[in-house]
Amino acid sequence: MPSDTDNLKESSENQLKEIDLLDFIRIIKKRKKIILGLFLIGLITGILWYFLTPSSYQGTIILKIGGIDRIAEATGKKSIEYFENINEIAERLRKGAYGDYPKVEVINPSSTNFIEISIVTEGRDKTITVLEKIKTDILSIHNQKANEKKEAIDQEISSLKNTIESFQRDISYALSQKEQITPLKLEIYKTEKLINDLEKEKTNISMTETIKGPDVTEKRPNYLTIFFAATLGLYIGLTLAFFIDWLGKMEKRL
Amino acid sequence: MAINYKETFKILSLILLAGAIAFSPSFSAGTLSNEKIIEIRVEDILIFVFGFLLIISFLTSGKTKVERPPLFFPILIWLGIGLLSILINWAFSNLSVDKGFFYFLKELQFFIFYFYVFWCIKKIDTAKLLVNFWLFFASINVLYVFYQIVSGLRHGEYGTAAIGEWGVFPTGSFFLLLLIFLFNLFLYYFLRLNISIPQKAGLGVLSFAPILGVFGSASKTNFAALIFALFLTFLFLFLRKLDFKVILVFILAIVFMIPTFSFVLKNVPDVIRVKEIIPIFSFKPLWESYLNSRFYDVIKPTFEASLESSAHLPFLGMGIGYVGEAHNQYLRNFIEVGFINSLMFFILILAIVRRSWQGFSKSRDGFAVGLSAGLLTTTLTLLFLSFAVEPFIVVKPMSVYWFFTGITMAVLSLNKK
Repeated sequence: MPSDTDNLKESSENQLKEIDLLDFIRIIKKRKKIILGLFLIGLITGILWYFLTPSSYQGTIILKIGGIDRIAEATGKKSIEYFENINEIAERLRKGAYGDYPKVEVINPSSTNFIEISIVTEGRDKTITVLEKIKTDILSIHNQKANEKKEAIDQEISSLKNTIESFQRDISYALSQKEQITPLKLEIYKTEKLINDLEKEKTNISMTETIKGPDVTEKRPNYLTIFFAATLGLYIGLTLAFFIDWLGKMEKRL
Repeated sequence: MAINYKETFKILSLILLAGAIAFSPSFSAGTLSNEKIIEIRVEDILIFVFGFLLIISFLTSGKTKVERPPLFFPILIWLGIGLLSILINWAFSNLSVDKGFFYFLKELQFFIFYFYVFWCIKKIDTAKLLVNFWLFFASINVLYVFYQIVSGLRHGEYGTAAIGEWGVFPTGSFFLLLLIFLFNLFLYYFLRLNISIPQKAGLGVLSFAPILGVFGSASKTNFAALIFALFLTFLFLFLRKLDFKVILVFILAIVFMIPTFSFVLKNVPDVIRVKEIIPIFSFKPLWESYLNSRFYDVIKPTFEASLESSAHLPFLGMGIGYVGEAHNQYLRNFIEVGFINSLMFFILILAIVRRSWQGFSKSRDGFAVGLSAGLLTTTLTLLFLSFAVEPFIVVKPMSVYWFFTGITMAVLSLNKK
């Protein structure tokens, strides 16, 4: 037969495995001062925060990063060789490499060549100025790289064209000497193909460009801040009330 | 015999809920501030109605006490700190109201699924009936995948889709979780039932059939997780009991996998993606694929950006719903709910692992052992998946996970009584 101690232990275990809704009401009633007090603190803090916080201005620009489109011959898979790796741009911007301006946030939506740059400053004009500076810096660096690449391709094409002319002269000479010209013609064909590839590469160069912005929005606490601060106070109050009650129970048990 | 209408309604509501999770498509209910669509599914409406009716029925019954489900406190603290983080970030205007609200609501819903299932199961037979229904619902989904493969009309992001789903990961993980639960139930429960061999074979095929959905989805991550899950299933089987019959079935299942995979590979061109990580046992291709497509592109930059974005980040985070896509559950937790709740996440997971391990190692009833083994394996598999994706926020697999967690915990509690 179970002893009284066993019964007591069992009943205490059962109590632990149940939630009594009346307990909630009892605790709320018992600790109403703490709950109400923290609710009021939250409310007042929210009101002060709402009225005393100065406005700040968040600006955003979206850039499309340029590069050279490549298609792998074997797989046909498309890829872009960027003028600057998107993650590297993001990292350099975050570290302030483009100049001295407030901390920037950079987002690169996965699998895209877009980059969203946003900053927050205390003035609308300052936000626009800083974003314009960042944009100009990035565009000028990338455009310079694009132009350098195009020039390099042009030079290579012109050099290849000279090679073709030299082959043609060799062909004329070979014909006059009644020698074989097929290998020379093959070389011309190969060189022409190289020129075609280079011209194609040139058309595949896309420039870095602005897609959107700078867009500036005023950032200041809205009236919901007061509501959230009060709710936060109430929530902390309730949690504290239940925690104190739980501590009391633990103390009694010990 | 008088019909107990209340009990019948509860069972019916659970079947409807399971059916909605398995089949419901999503409907657009507007867009969030980040232009992400708010998707509503039939189970969202059902759980709201059933949950409301359950509360009304409890309040009108005159009772004041309710059974405390296992995991109650870890879940309560996880949600409590999550809510605190959201409220703080809302107050400081760090987090948009709609994002925080809907993401938190979604998370809350998973736990409501769990509590609802736990409170509604009063008999082991109800749990068994639900498992049978899940087996049926899974089979319908597998038939749908088979139809897509044969007809060539694929409805998934890359390969085939589950009914009402499109995304590669949600489809793959939905089938993966069903496979783990049903296959473990087969190994420890169905196989030991007093039924004929053809009946057992039929149940075996139905339990293992969701593998077709995993392959068909063409999800590399789920493919890697499948190998991990099968390894764990075998390991637990080895730890529990080395029974020749069970081992034979396990080997047959693996053998069944090969023609299934080659059938899918022949008919679903996008499954070729999975081939990139097929030499999984050498680990290198898998690791390289992870580094190139996840770590350097998303995880590392997201982590670095998050470190610089807020002063209070390490403690309470930026609020649930802040991160777009982190491709890592642990990173998402760290950014959104901070260090404190990240720790709480592990405590919650540890509590699930502990309970399921106890159920697995101490239960004598095959049904409870099968459910516990399934829960243990899925939980560890989800932790594995969490390195490359955020499985704990994906609706379709998570609804299945918490539904089965509810069944498992209810069965373990009923067995104790």
